[in-house]
Amino acid sequence: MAARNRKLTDARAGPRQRSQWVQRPIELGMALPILVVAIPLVLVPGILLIRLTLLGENAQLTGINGAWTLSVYESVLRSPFYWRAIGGTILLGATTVILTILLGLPYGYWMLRHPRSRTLLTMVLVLPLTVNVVVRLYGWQLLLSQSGPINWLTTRLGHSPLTMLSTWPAVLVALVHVTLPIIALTSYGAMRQLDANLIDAARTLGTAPSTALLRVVIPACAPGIAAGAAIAFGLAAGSFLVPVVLGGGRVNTVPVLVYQDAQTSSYALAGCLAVLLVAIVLPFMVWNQRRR
Amino acid sequence: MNARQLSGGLSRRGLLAGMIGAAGTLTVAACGQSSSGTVGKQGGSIAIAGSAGVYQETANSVKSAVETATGINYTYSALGSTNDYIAKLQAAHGQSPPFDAGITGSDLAWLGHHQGLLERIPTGGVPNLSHVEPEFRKIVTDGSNLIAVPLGYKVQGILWRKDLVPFEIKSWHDLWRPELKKRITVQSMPQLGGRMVLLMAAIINGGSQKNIEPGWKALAKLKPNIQSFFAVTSDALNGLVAGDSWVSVNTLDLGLPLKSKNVVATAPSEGLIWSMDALSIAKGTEHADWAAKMINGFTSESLNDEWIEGVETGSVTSYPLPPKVKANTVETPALSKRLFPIDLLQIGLDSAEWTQRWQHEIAS
Repeated sequence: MAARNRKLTDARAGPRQRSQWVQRPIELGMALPILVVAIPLVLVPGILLIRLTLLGENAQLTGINGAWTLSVYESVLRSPFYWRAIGGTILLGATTVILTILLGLPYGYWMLRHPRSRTLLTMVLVLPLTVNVVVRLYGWQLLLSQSGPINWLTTRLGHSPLTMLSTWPAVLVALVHVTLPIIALTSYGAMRQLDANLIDAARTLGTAPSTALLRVVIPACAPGIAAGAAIAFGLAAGSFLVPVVLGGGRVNTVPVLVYQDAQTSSYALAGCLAVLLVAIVLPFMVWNQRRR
Repeated sequence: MNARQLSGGLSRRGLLAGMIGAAGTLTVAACGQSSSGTVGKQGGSIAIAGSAGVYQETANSVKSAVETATGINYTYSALGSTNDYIAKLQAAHGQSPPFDAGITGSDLAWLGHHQGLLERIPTGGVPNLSHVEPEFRKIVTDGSNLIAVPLGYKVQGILWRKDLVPFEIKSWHDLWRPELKKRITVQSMPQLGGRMVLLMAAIINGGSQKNIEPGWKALAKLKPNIQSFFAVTSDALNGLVAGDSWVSVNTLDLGLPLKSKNVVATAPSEGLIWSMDALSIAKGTEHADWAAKMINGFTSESLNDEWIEGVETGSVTSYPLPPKVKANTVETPALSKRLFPIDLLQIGLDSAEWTQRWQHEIAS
């Protein structure tokens, strides 16, 4: 009896297994172009970079024969300056994500609930992406400068002009601008998967639109929002141009320090900072990915 | 194991092996490309590296004239930073460098020479060298070896808004006055401009390049007056014109076109910080003789004039400048006598240590 059952199970599973044997190579083949490029381009430089950081402070691109040492990591981890820079970078990334979610989620929800204006709302988000980020940053420089429109308004209202350039808030505002489309569009994409009847049911039961967003939409779309948040965080924490152009040399995030140290051939220190940032951020990314 | 299983297993293994093989091939190919990098070297042409912006524009605009004069064609690659030229030569280990020559600051030429990354200039192949002023040649001479050929020099002084600054700026010491609180921009480290500011602060406060400590102390006192550290000179000029800053320690020539915007260019009485551009030949290039020919073209009278005009730099040659070019440059022979003495090799060697201290104490 048992043998007969096994035969029946095998017979049923047969076509499925066969189709898996056929499908897997095809699917792998579809991913192959990216895998072939991404794996060596991430792993090989990553290994070389870590190796360089273990050759001590004076490691050069040519000198790969030195003795292994953790001295660079030791000096960085013992320095409050570098901890401040790492903490500041993570805080900047996290604040950007929080502000972007606060702005992007209602926007995505509005897009979902108002199909007629959806094209216009999408264009508003996507159009700035067609403008080069350097041009957008120069735009922010103009807006935030002493003679810019914000200060024009401030002085017209009887206040003294605000110093906005070369500050952390200036960098934060520009990063929110850069990452907003990502959060808004990924949230909207996640919300579209949601059964609209759920929102309607909540509204029928008397919930306000904001309550429906908070208690129905967000919990159901959390994985999609988290995916957008992870990308936005990576972009904000890894941004180099925004702090350089709008931070005026006073916003010393890890990418800025990495660049400055690499410019002086302090490759081990620059590499160490880059590795530490990845080591701190990666567990959150993996955790975020697994939660989904 | 039946035939289908064998075929399936082989297929997957083959696929994986193929993937790893392809990845390996790609990596090896990429490594090979980076070490041999022969872009622009075919057909008698050579590859030069240098800065973007006016340098790239000018190098490209004089290209056909250089080719006509010397028979050498070149491809100009604009680098994000000329430090990358040295980094790429380091990575090439003196074998098949990705560039045959480079236009960099003379401090980088010294650094490259110190690390054995540059060829000695074959002076016999550059007869126009006799027109380069001896004091500028001396700056890039190690013993009897010329390590690079000077192309032009720039002085840095104080650009300031006469409608905003409540007094006339004449001296470097004026930068420390309390009226300028949060009104000054200076170049950030590790850029040469930032290092020069430190050096200036040391010299005017009784120090020197060997005794830099007075410079650090003076910069710590200047910190409340510094509004921002700029990476790109145009950012500082935009800020000056917009009124975000009142004063910028910057290249003096850049202030000349801004006269109508109330910007004054002052060469302080104590002396001037400066930089000099130079053309060097990469170690291991197969075309050192072609590079020398090209350098000779660059140092001919007509091309020197075009270069000076295009890059807006001071002349390092004895050629008389056309009046139009002369009118747009502040670097006069008299001014060239007021340059602070600078050990360019040492300023390059100190750059890592200074940059880290700057990050910790000044820019934080």
